[in-house]
Amino acid sequence: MLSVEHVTKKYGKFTALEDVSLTFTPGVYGLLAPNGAGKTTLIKMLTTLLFPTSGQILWNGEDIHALDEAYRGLLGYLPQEFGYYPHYSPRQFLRYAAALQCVPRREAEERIESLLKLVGLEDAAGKKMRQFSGGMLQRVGIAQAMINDPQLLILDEPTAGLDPRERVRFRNLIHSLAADRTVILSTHIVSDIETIAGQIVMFRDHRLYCCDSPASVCSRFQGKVFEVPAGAALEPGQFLLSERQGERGPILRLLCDAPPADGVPVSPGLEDAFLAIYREGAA
Amino acid sequence: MDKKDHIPMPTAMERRAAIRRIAEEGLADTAPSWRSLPLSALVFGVEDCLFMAVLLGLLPLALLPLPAGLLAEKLSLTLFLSAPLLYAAAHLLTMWKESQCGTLDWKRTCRLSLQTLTALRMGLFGGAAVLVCVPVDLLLWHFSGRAMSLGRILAVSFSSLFLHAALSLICREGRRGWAVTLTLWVLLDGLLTVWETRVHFLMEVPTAVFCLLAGTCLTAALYQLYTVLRQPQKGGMLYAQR
Repeated sequence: MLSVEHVTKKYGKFTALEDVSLTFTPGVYGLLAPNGAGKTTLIKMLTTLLFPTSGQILWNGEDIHALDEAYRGLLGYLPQEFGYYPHYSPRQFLRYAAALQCVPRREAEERIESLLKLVGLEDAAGKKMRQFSGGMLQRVGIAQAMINDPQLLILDEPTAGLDPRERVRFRNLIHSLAADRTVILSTHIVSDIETIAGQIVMFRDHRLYCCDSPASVCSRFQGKVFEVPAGAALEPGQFLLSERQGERGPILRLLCDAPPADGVPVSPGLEDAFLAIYREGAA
Repeated sequence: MDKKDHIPMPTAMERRAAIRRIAEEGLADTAPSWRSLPLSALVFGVEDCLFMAVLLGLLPLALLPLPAGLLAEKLSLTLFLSAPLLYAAAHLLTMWKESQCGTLDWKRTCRLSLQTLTALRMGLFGGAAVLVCVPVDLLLWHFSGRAMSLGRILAVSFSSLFLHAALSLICREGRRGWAVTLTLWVLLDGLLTVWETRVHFLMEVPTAVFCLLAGTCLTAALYQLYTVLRQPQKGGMLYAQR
């Protein structure tokens, strides 16, 4: 179990995260917040790349920095910009990653074969990675993060730059990996985690806003989201969430406490909740 | 009868066996993880940097076409300036390549700390520098008409190489330690070059001084390596503090 206890991170006078307390148990957690909200800062602290300014992060009750290599040995990490060596094949690269993770050679060979199969790269295992698409490289990154069979898998913006088909494939992959480990996934793309995250962690004003199931996050706006035909003027207290194409033309999705004229109540989705939480001037 | 007399206590043999088992399990966990690292992992992805560095290490051979007298005159300074070239170039080029590839972040989260990997690489580069230095020195010694003893040539080379190695290992903990090492080395080289052209300072230094410098710096460098490898947790802490 990973516990974040009253963690604050400051860069000089700028406070990136303030008094964040969280507990991560096995399952998929989605860190969902706009860019600059502190997701990557939290991830860097969870991966021992940064020290908290105050507070502590514990793995099963022990400070992760004190555990040091023992903690890093149970951690799998895919950074936002995954670096690789283009002149090597995924198999060679994974052997290297296994050596750095101190995985015994025989065990590593078996694991590499099963991971290449899992991420669908068994046919490209011997090809140089410079020939790979962004999605294929991201799958190598996942395999690299899984090479030590980590109990804690942390993925920072793993779907950035992937096409829709690759993203669906990626989501299925994460789902299959999350059965018996803690997966922490950072993204600002709502659809990526709507289907796979059991818990959504959101930050606002550099503080923890919520850590709840997607259904609970959405239920906060139940009865407050309406669809109206485009062209209707917004009244005070109404906030435009999004716009979509309906059968009879464009339709606006509004957030408001009182039903608008011609407004049809709709079930709020996670995207509605995200836009409502992070709307300008939201208290 | 006292209550504790009812508790079945282990025999002396059982106690010793239990202590041995616990100690073995504990020691297995604390065994240095770098020992299982294959040599190929130290140069993985940076072979081109090492190749470039070896070429730089061979640079003093460019002086071979010079007449023997002129070569002998320039030998001390050439040896002192060029001996750490391979080591320094390999270290700086690998660091530069790693930062360009974007592999540093995930490497810092690997069980084997990047600090340990860097220290092991520095040890390897030091070994490679010695291997290249010896034949280069032999050739220079031969083509300079053996004006200087081979022992002195090796002493000058190794004192410079080990001084640079010790300096870079000591400075590695600081922020931009590599830049500090480079600056110090350029300053020292500049000073020596100016000085040497005026008073042939290096020619006047006894061989024993170079031997002493080489021995001291080698000890300091090996001690620094030993410290890094014995305290792997120090590496992880360093990144987070920066």
